[in-house]
Amino acid sequence: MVVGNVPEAVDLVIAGGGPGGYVAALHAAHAGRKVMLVDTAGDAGVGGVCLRIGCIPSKALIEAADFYAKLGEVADMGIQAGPAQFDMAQFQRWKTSTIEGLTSGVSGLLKAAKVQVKRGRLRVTEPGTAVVTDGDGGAQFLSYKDLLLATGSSPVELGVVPVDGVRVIDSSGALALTDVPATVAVVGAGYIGLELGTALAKLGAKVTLVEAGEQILPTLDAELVRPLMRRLKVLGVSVMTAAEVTGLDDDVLQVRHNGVATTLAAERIIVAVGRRPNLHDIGLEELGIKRGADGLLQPELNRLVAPHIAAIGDITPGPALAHKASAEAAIAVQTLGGQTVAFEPQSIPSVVFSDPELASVGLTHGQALAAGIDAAKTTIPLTASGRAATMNQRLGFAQCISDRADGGILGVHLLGPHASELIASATLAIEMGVTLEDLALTIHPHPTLSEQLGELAHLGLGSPVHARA
Amino acid sequence: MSHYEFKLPDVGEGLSEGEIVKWHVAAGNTVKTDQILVDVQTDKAIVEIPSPVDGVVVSLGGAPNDILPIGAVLVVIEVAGTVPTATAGPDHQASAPASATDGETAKAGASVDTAPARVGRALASPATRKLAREFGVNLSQVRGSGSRGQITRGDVEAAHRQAESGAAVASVSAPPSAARVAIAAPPRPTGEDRVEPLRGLRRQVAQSMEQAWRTVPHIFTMDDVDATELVRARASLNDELASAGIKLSYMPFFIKACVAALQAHPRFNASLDMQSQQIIYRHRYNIGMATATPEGLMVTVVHDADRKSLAELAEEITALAGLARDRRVSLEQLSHGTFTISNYGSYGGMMGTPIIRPPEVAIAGFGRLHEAVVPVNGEPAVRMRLPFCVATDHRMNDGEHLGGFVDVMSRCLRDPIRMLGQR
Repeated sequence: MVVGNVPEAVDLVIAGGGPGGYVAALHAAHAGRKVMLVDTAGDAGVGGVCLRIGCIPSKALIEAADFYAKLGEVADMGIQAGPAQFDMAQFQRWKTSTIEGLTSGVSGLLKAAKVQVKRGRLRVTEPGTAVVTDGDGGAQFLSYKDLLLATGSSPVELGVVPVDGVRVIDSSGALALTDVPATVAVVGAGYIGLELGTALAKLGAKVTLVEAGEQILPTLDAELVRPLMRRLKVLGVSVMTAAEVTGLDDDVLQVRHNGVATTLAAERIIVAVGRRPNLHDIGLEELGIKRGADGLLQPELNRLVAPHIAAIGDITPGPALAHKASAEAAIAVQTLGGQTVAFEPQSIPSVVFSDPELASVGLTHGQALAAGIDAAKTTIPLTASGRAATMNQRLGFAQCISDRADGGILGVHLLGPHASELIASATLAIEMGVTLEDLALTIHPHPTLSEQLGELAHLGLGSPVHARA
Repeated sequence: MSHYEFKLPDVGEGLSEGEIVKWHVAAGNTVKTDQILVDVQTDKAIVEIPSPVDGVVVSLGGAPNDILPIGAVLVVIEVAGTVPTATAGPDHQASAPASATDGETAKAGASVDTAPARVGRALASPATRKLAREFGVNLSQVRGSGSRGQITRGDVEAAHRQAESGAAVASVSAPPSAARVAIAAPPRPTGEDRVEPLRGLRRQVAQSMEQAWRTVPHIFTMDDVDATELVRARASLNDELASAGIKLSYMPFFIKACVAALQAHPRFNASLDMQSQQIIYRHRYNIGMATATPEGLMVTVVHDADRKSLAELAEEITALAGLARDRRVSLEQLSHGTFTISNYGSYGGMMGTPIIRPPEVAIAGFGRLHEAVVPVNGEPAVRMRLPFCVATDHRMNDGEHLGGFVDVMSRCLRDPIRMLGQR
């Protein structure tokens, strides 16, 4: 400790103001804790990547792009919208004000809960003591009772195409574009790359997805992903799988595709190859906290990584998703408060805002079989849904994985409009241990997309109504 | 030709499962209708299950010691022609109503404690799982009460109460959290310990006693009566009956004394139905007798004990005890008890506290008949003494009721001629 620097005593210090950290701060404050929330951007950082440069702005772009693209696809319904125009500058103004509304809402909640928000980078110096440096030469020592690490993740950079913020940009740069580029190469076709590429294509860009894996969304079952390829083709998106970026010239991106060197013209290159945990220079070694082979912290089920220190979100195993971090936040705060709790959900839903949306919860059929479960798979096409027909939507399906032993629902996978909303009731079903029979006996409102879930259950029981057995 | 799936029927009164003891047939064997296929241990007895059809055994549903839920496929038999699938077991024993147990329900219910833990999926809501964490209750050790074996909040609370009460006994001085951990974790064998699976009659005794002790709030009252006249009466009756080849033990007298008390206090010859919130007063006096066998305790039942003479009771008791030791008691001889007697004094020790067998609401336990010096008319005298204890379900009877019941028994045992005055 620096002589003469008197540490400030703090009850609970939370590092990171994202959907893990700020949610934890509010839970803790409501539980009567005195909370300091440290974020590298201070009050301008609360909400985190998700709210400021991730989930929320990307959904704004996707919504706008989708609306714009639909204008050209509703002639069947008797709508002639004429040549529509997209004004990216106006979009950015609207997006910015939308996000400002949300972030100031979070700031207001933190203020009302008397959470002290501090700008700076936190580093532990010894157990129970940390220093926050603000980057302007200021440093404040803290003597904390409990510490919660929620520092999140940052985009992985590619050495061969370093992000320059102009021609080569990352996902946050892509969401801040001031115009729609004529040609775009998206390096990495995980959910971030796919979402951005799809949106820019709908806005008029000629988009190529460059993916090193064998398919887009490489971590998902091929069966779930395949129909998306049809839609990408209609949207004019080119897909190069098994493709590796090897360099960048003034004009073109160099790619080795299926082992053959080729080039790709691209006005802008968006690098979206994944995220890495923000665990650098936190002082983990001072605390004797080791990382796992995956580079992540390895918390117990109660989220503790050491006595009085909890970790949540992207710096811990599991999907790097905002709702996972928020759910862990509640558990971590209870643990630090002395309760015996555990983060042990039956499943964590995941959503890709592709076109159409892909939402998934629980086990895939392959995972269930690999786990030794005698699992049944039932699938119905979206064409069985009357509501989807009235939306002029045909592409998609609903799939349910169940345990043959007792009909228990193990997984639900949806591709189609509003799949992101529909997956919530499937998640509840899995969390509550619901069986196909329970689901079949639950009345789903007509005419809605949610009827697909009831139909899946009837099909699983061998008595479908609108699908073929 | 078609395959007949014979499912394990409910051979008792609302059984959920049965344990395969021994197969009498093997795959490939030709079987005839009513030929014994298998011995199955239920919670009351070993039951021989006969074939419902003629045919050839295709496959067996389990090996000896396997526990099958009611409704599980017991055996597949290839038969000529077609037969309806057996959803309910056919009647195979006069006394056992083959109730149409829903196969699905039984299967799922049993899966909680017999199936290996499913990968990841807990049959409990998130809030219930959270409560289990808080209490340190291991959900894999909890039997769910839901229709499919779902574990409810109440199940977790009950498991917690049980663990807490056990913890209090196990370790009074340990801090609560340590005691909780000690009880929540199953005992682990170490070193040279011998481990054997809990099976057969021992398992049935374990389950029914646990259930009884958990659900029935017991109260006990004891007395120690002068049995000198009882000893004398038995000796003189045995002189009388010797020519008929009948030898009276004390059990017929105990039964008579209990019947007299039950007639005077019908609250003890009753059952409590908490679900329907009603009390059932039994019109028959069917007295169960706890009988020790090498594998554990069995309770055989003397039906309509109020209508039988001491000699008739003696003959029936001897016959039942022999059948019990050979594990060949019929289901009827184990069923429909309304009150139970345990004669634990004959095994050693002076006194004991018996556990009630639900749905009965009372039980009497007799200690060791012994000589003692007691004051008689102000002078020391050597007399025969008989200590006994009656337990009753405090939901049904209070201490006052129990005192009255014990008093009738005491008077009969002290002065056996009163037993002749029974209605």
